Amino acid sequence: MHLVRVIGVHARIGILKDLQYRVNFAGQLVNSALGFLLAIGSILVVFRHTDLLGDWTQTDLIMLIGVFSIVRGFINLFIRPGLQAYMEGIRTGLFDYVLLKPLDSQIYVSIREFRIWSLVDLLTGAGLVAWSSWNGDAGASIGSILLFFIAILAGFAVVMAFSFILGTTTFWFIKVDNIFVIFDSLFQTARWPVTIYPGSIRILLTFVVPVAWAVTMPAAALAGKMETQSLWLALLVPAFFIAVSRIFWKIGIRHYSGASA
Amino acid sequence: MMHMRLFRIYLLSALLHLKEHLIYRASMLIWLFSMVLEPVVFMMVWRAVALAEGGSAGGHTQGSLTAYYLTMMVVNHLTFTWIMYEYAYRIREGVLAGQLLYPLHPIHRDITMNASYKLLGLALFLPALLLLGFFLQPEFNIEPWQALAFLPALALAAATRFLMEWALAQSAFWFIENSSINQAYYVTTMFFSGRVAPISMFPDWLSTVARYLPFWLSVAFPVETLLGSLTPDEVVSGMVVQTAWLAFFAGFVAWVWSRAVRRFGAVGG
Repeated sequence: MHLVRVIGVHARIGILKDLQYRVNFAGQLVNSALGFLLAIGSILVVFRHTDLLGDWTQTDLIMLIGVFSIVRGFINLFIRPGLQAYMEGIRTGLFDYVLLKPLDSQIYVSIREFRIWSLVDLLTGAGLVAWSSWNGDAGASIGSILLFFIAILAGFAVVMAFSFILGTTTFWFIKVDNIFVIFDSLFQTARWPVTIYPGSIRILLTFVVPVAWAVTMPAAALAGKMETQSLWLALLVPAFFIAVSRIFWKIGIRHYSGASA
Repeated sequence: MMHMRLFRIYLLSALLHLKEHLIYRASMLIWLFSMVLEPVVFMMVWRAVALAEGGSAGGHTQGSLTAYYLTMMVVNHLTFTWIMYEYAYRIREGVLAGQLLYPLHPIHRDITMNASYKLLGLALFLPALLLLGFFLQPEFNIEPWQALAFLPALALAAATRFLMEWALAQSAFWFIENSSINQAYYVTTMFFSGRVAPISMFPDWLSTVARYLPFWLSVAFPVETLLGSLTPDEVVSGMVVQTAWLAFFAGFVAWVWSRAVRRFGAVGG
């Protein structure tokens, strides 16, 4: 209960902060719309030459782009800004104050910054998913919608844990701003179903850097392509990555010696 | 004498930037990683399409698509710039104010910085390219005239793209928050430059239009020249249009720069 209140306070501060920069809202809206235009344009060109990509139809792929956008909006809403503030804090010594807070440092880092304009990505993505599952061939059922929500929560957990694993390297290397360039470019692979990649890359994108898989999974669930036996994967993989990020963070904290103070 | 002096400045400044880039080796590797991954993703998409359609899609086989994207990877690296993402920062933080004090147009610094980065990057690119080529088996059928025509096409492409993106960067003088302008450019160039798909995959009318746009001419045109998907006539007319765009952007840059500096109120230093 206490945690919910803390999150609420930080979200409110974030909203107030971003409301000062209302023009950024228009900017975010334009950028998102342009991004969708490119993604949908690419899909239309691909489907001029084929009816099925793997076993994905054109509508399925538009839904995948929606899921991609939801997950990206989720990362940019608070995980990425929080991690960036933390990385800056390691360099300047402000991270000392994070450790002094009576709240778990990893949780605090992930919830302290909110960039509410990222909700634009999240909501337009949700709209695209709703539209395409309405018009899809599979027809969404109660079961597939339920599976979708489980899978997308698992997807959030995976990208969150993976972002943390990348960010935690700051404890050793101090200045690694570019590390998120790696994340972003790997995440671009998630615009297409992981099944189009050849075996070795697919395994890499499922178990080593599960970013693409985290997006494919929920879309597959909603399109009725997820076998029930892969449900355990949808739960095990995030659990594993959360555990790794947690352990890595603990080791990192022990390595931190403060920069100024 | 003037030319000798400029040549010396170019050489020294290129060397300086080369050393500067070498300091940030890790950032460079990370950046190159993303430059390799983008074409590989689209290569995989199109290979999957070709495979599903029984080996070829729109006249492209898996092998020719692989050759297209591997060449694209190199050409995109050799022609890209990052200037428009940096310019607003330069103005805001006063970097530009300092650069204006030199008795030389700031564009020269950007040219040598860009060229030295490309040189270093190419050395890092080659191993990745060889590895991908080994595993993915591209089909290259390069006639000598195509290889010969490739070089001027590439040079014109690089010059056109540099001036086009330098001109775009000047928008930062008018809009300090210019991310939407950059995004609009990114989306347009991504689609029309042949990076999403070879433009022959587009509907006919769209690919005809794309052939005259600077986006395709400054990225995919040298690629298609080398790989032989263009006739000699098309290569020549492509170079003529490239030259026209180059002249246009050179004039535009001169014009916009003279207005931009007049707008500039120095910040920091």
